[in-house]
Amino acid sequence: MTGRLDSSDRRLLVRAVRLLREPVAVAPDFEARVLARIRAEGRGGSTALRWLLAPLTLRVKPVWGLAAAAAVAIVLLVPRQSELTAGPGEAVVTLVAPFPAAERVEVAGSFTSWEPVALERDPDTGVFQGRLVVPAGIHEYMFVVDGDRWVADPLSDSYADDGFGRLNSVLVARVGET
Amino acid sequence: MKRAVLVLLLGIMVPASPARAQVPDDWAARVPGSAIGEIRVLVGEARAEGLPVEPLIQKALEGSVKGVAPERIVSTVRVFRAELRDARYLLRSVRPDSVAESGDIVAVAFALHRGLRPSEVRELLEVAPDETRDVALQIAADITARGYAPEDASRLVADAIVQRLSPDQLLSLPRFVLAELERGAAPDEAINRVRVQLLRGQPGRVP
Repeated sequence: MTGRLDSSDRRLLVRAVRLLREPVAVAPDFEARVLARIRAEGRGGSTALRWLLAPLTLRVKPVWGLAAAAAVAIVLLVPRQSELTAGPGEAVVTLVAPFPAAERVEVAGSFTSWEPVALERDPDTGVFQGRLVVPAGIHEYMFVVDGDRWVADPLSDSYADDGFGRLNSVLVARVGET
Repeated sequence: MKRAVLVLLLGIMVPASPARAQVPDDWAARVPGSAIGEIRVLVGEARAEGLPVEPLIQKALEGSVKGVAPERIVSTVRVFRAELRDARYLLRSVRPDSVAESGDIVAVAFALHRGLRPSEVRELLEVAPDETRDVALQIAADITARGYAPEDASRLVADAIVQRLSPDQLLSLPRFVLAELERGAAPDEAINRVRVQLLRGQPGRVP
């Protein structure tokens, strides 16, 4: 290429300059959209937190929604004590202590290694009761009323001399529910 | 629904594990200091003889929590050990070729403690299958403890076993006897009525 332009080059150059000098048409909300995109991409926080807080659209058939609601209600409304289950060689036993005038009733027996375990009072009847998982077999036990009074279970079918001058209640715990 | 709420809900739905009773490792700390030396000796001797030691420890713990005098705790544990020895001797006499299991030794000792005689225990051991042996001994001992002749009690239970009553049905025998008493039967007549019902295959029904 020489230092001088021929006529065709000159015409091409004039045309390009004219195009560059023409004003560019931009949409009125162009600036706002660019700034919003920059703000969104620059937002801080961890990936896990963004995942937890991100809106989620679920598409569920009504029948499955009802089934899920029923399952949640069963789990939340059934009392915790009913979750007791007996393992191999064990039994779940229910003990009822009819001492409505007592402040506190505990049960102690061979199934608790004679460590007193508190029973719960039914607020409506005043009767104390508890459910325990015990090893299957023959057990002896007594109730401890208000911390110092040892009493045999008045509802027991069977009693045995404890060797110390009192009668223990006898419980035959069969594998499963008693 | 926010995923965070879903995660929290699943966390609530996981059930807690229930607590289970266990024999404490530190049982000696719960026995009065003036008794623990002799109790340890008794337990050690029982262990050396191959007797179950847990019932002895349980009896010591029972006496301790009930506030029994230390010397009486020791004497009761000693008597209980002698009953365990008698029970094992009885089991060996019935089944000389097999090793007596701890559960059977305890069940026999408990029956002897409650008034069954060795002859009745031997009769029940000979007729009761393994799965009903402990219940059979317990029920015969229970009826005996209510004031009935031990031979009548053991014969009733032996008949029930021959009639193939389940363990749960065996457990109902004392109630059947009690029901006959409430219907006006004398004690020995009450047991005989229940035996008749058993032979007819209708325990608990008025013959």
